[in-house]
Amino acid sequence: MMRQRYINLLFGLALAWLSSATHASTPSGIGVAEPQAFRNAAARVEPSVVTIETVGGAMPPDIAGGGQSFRIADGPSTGLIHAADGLIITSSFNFVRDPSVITVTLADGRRFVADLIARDEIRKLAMLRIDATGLPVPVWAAPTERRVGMWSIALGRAFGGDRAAMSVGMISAVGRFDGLAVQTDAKLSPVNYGGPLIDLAGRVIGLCVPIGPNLSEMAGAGLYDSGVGFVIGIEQIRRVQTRLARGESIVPGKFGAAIQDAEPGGVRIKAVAEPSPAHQAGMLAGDRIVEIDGQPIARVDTLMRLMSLRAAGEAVTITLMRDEQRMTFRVTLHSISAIGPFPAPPSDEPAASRPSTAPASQPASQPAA
Amino acid sequence: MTRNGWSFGLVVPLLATAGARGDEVVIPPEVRAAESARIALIERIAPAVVCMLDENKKGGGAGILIDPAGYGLSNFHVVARSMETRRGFGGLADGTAYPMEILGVDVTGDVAMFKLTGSERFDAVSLGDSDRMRIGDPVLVMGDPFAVAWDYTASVSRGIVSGVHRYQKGAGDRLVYTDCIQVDAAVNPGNSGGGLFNHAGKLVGIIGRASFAERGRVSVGLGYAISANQIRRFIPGLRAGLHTFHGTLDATVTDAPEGVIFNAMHTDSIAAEMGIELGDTLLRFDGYEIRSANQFASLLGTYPDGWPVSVDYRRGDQERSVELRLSRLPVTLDAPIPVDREQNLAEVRRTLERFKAAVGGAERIADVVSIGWTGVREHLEQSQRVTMSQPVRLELEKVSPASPVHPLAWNLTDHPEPEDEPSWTVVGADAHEGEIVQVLEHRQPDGGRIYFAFDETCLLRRVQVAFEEGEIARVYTYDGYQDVDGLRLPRRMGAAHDVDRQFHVDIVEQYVLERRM
Amino acid sequence: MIRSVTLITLTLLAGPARAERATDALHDVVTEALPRVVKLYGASVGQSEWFGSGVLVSSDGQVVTMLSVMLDADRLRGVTADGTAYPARVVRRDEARQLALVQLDLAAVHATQPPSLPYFAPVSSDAVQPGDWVTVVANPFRVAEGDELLSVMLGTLSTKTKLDARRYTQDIRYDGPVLVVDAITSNPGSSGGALLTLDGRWIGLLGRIATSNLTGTRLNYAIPGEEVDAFLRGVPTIRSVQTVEPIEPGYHGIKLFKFGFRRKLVYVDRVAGNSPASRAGLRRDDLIVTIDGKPIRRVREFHEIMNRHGPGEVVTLDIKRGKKLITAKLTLDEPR
Repeated sequence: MMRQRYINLLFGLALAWLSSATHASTPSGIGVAEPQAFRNAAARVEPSVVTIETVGGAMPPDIAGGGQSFRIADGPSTGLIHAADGLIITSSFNFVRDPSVITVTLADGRRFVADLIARDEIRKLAMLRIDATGLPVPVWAAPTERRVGMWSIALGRAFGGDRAAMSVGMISAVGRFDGLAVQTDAKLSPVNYGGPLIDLAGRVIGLCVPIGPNLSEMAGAGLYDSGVGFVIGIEQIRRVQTRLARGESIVPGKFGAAIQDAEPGGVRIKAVAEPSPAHQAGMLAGDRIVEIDGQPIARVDTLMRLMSLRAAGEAVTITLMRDEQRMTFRVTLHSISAIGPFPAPPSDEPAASRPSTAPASQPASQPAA
Repeated sequence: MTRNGWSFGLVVPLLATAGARGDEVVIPPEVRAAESARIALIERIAPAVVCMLDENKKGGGAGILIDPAGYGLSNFHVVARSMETRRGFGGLADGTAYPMEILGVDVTGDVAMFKLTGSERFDAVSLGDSDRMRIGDPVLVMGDPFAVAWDYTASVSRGIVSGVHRYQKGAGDRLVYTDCIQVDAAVNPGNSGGGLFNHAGKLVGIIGRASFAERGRVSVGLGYAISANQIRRFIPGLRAGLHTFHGTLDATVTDAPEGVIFNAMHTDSIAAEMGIELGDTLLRFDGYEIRSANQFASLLGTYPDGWPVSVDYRRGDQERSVELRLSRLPVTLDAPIPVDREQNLAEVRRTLERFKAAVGGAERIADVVSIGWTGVREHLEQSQRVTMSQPVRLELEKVSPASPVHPLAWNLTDHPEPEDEPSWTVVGADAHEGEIVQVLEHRQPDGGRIYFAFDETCLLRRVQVAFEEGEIARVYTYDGYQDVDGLRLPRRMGAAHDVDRQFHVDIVEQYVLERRM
Repeated sequence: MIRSVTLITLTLLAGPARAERATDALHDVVTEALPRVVKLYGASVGQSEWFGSGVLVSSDGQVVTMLSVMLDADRLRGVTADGTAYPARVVRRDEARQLALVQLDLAAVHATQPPSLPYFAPVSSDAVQPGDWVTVVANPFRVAEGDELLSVMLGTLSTKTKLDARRYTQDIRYDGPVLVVDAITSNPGSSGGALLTLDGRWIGLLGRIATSNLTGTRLNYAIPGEEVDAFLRGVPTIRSVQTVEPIEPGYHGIKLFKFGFRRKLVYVDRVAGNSPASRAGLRRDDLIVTIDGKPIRRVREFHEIMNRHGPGEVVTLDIKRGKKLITAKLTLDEPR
């Protein structure tokens, strides 16, 4: 069996090599074969791609970040069947309005009312449930099957129609944000947030979400169509799917301290909120954080990065220096809503690290860092 | 709710990926092959892409390693924040932040060179011929957009060449992009200093700019790279820690019915000095046809200060040609950028060591007592043939028009001592017979100067001698090596000549080695 | 082992060689196409002038571009590939298709023997399917001046769909299908540029900068070649947004909630007895989610759509009742 496959492969490659050796000056070769391959890949996953429509809800905030702000529109959005018995996974971006009614239309045209059962605010995911069974579940690519340079096609349902709209790109990086996301230069936007990014075999590389460089709320959407887009892979979804399926939302976890860079290194606590895990544990303003879960913290940037992936309910070990004494605290993180005010107004929140910008004048193009 | 039903539904697809299924997509072999080729190409280049970090290891911008010794290229505007200390870090795909030093900079052209330390050997890429890039060519861009490379693994985007020989106005006289390559691959803040690669994985440009729209600083499909061919002319100076300048004619041209004409000229300009006048029609510059004023401005912007170029022009119905060296184009700086003296010296040592290695190695030279050099000196007017032989191991005080010296031989037998070192400098790059060379200057105690020009392979190409504080008086040119008693010594073809053309030495040049027993 | 090495070698050999062949083809296509697209410059906007692109459609200098008030300028001019600038004027406008025909005045520059310019004939966009490679030739950000070559991009066709977009706050009144492109064409200067297949056929005209009403983001679209062709042949457009024959709307029997917090959604307040709605099974508190497949979110939208259907017509409603989605078909009655 394997031998036959090898021979087939050899033959195919020899053919390809030979045909490349003959003069093929028109793009009839690969210029036609690649688009057909894109379509075939899309066709494989299309049965699992759903159209989500929402009705009602609050006026959405403008999305800012990276680019100019834009107002969220209320056209259709995209989702992916996650379990045969009615779980749909999509992006929380599509529910910023907190809509009154959510409908899901399957590829076969059947339409259902959907319940939004939970959100993951860190991964920008949302889980819906519809009352259906026997749904076609897509095939996901395993993490080891992702390679930088692979074709990756994003599918989106915003424009309606028989088939999803396609954006063709490639995998730009794997393991971004400590393994949270895979990066692509396909154009990700509200057209396809919540939809799949697939490889040539039609397997899902990840779910398209609006993550931004500092992982903040929805600012990632400001980078739409930038060629820097992020998707959440199956290994990340598996970490949270049980909780989401039973209605448990995942929110960023905080311990309740206002912080700034300290000399000669580490992060100074400027104020402790009350109530908060930090307050409860006995951390004080003036303490200098030097480690989180055993990882040395040199600057606020590092701390923000480590904390940006932590959820409320998770525990974290904080090592700090107080008057030359080394102290360790184990705290359980809370959501922002469960944390009280700071006693004195803290100075400016540390800004997320950003690359330095260009000289101020207005040439036709600008330095890109 | 949570039943085995749905978890089974998830497990099955995961298992299903391992084997073949009936509905599996059939991917044509040529499509697979092209994709695999791209994956392999990226794997090959990626180790050479650097995430540029400041002294606090904070990111912002990229760089590309072009020499296994750790030399790399980036934008000036990426390293500008680190110019006070000239120190930073370079993050590589192996996850390590290597100590980085900033060497030379080109503020006008927005290029900088850096060097990483901390490894015996770095993965590097080589420069390609950017003049061969055509519209439609596939390209890859690698850098660190939005500083998302927490682990220093650069981001890659793909696209095509959208335009060539583009001109992008700078910020005043700085960061001007002339003759740059335009691409539609995603270029965002953070891609600066990163690489533009052709389909063979050669570095054909350093990405540094993008057009941004009303939306803000987010790619809209227009990115620009400084061409590799322009950067090549600056590399010898950048490696030596110099602040390199661009060249100018101190004259401007404009489009007119009869062609591109000189319409303004500084009275002290090199153009005027060489006899060009207002109204003359510019035909060719450095061999390139000139079609428009814009095209000329763009082309001129790729040349360094002092570069030798030929200028062909027409006056009336007569075509004329001059060879001149471009003047220095000044640039506005917030603070003057001092020459990195240490770097310069390090580069001097490096070049001389490489040269000695090419000749045969320091050990082999160590036992050479003298290199005898025989040449024939001919007086042009009198056709007199005089045979000279000169033992070398020179007291350089004796250098004078009467005692022709072979500076090369001197260089081989004397190793610069630390006291000598202040007398050695890399002065920059030059063009010699169409090739880019690095020029080292050695100042003699009596004020004379000898300039050694080495090409990329450290082959000695030219030696210029200036006596006392005067101008270049004598020029020797070389084009290869000859074996002399186990050493590879530069071989001269054609005549060495005195600049005032009074004397020239015949092509017969012999070395005779005397070794210590 | 040797087999794998052979495979890998063959793979790598096949790759780059293929790439070169394909790019030769693309370069040739682009070389042919570039002289058929022109740079346009028009009315002044503050310190700067408007700039865009246009496609040559005749050898004597007719150019198709997107309709814009910026074309109504004394200084409207078109610049061809060799850098020659010609005065130009609009000779025909098509509001429905958002297209304009501009004539370059060749005689103004060439007193005798005006040149015969290379031009494109529009081709139906049926020639492309989603996923196909497409090339874009235009002058975004006026990067190219004079005789400098226009900018070229490579993308794919994303989808073909009805245009639902706006410029600033105004909806674009173009009622037909557009090609949505997976490349950034929504840039200043790109409108009027050419969308081509990989083998160089002209299948679309790049639209103006617009924001999709469905996504809130910039839409990269092109007017399909068949529309441009119809425009050039003088075919009047049948689809017209403004002229809707007023008809006597059919009676449905639904009374909607008008007050309170439910104003924004379309809830049924009362169903008249012996009405199309009652016969279809509608009840009080039903939430009307879609009409004929189109989601509706406002009472106003409900009335707008229902008023377009006359007696005897069948209208399909999706309604949410509790957690279920129910489809109801109403056959409208004579007005009461």
